[in-house]
Amino acid sequence: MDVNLIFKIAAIGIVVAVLNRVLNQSGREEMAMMTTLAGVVVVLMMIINLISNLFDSVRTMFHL
Amino acid sequence: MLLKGIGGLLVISASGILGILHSNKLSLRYKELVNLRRVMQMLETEVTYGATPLPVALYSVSKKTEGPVSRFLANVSEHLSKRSFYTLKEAWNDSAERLLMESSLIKADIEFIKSFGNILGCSDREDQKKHFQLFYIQLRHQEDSAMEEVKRSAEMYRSLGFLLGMAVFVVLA
Repeated sequence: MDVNLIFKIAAIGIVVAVLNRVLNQSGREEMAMMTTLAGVVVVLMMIINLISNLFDSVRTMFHL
Repeated sequence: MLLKGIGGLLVISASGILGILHSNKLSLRYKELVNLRRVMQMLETEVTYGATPLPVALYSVSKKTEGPVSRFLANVSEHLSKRSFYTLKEAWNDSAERLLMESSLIKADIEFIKSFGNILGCSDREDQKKHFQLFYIQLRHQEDSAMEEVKRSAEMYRSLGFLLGMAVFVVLA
């Protein structure tokens, strides 16, 4: 859980946005959609651990 | 930190150069199709106006031009002179398979060239001329589709190379 993760997610967001634009511009719209989805999946995989920890701590706080 | 930077630079430049190479292959295909037209026009002149026999005509045309098509014609001429094959069609197809695979022409272009070998040298001068004209018309279609593909995809492949390199770098470091 460091600040670098946020920078990584931001950089992936920028790259996916530019990729989306380039692919839409040259007509391959279905490939643009696929890369957007891939970007979302990659980011999700990066933070899935943290989300799981978050839910655990919420659960323990609730039951207390 | 420095190592990470150098590694990232290597990944991005490698991926970018791959994209540029792919993009250049497309534009090279178009240039080779234009070259093919020029070479075929010279061959037509030799065959229909000079009435030179095929091995000599192919050899002289290949001497005057350069590129993969020129080497292909030189190879066919050599096969014909040495009588390595029974028919022109076999020599033509064999040379096409071996030499044109190295060029930037796609499979459809090579099949198109091979189909021209079927009628070369099989009829009289007027008929050959008509076949050449038909070949040019079909070649124009291939040239147009190649040009269109270049316009559509060349810029895209270049950007794609660099962007995917950056994505890999960001995810891995």
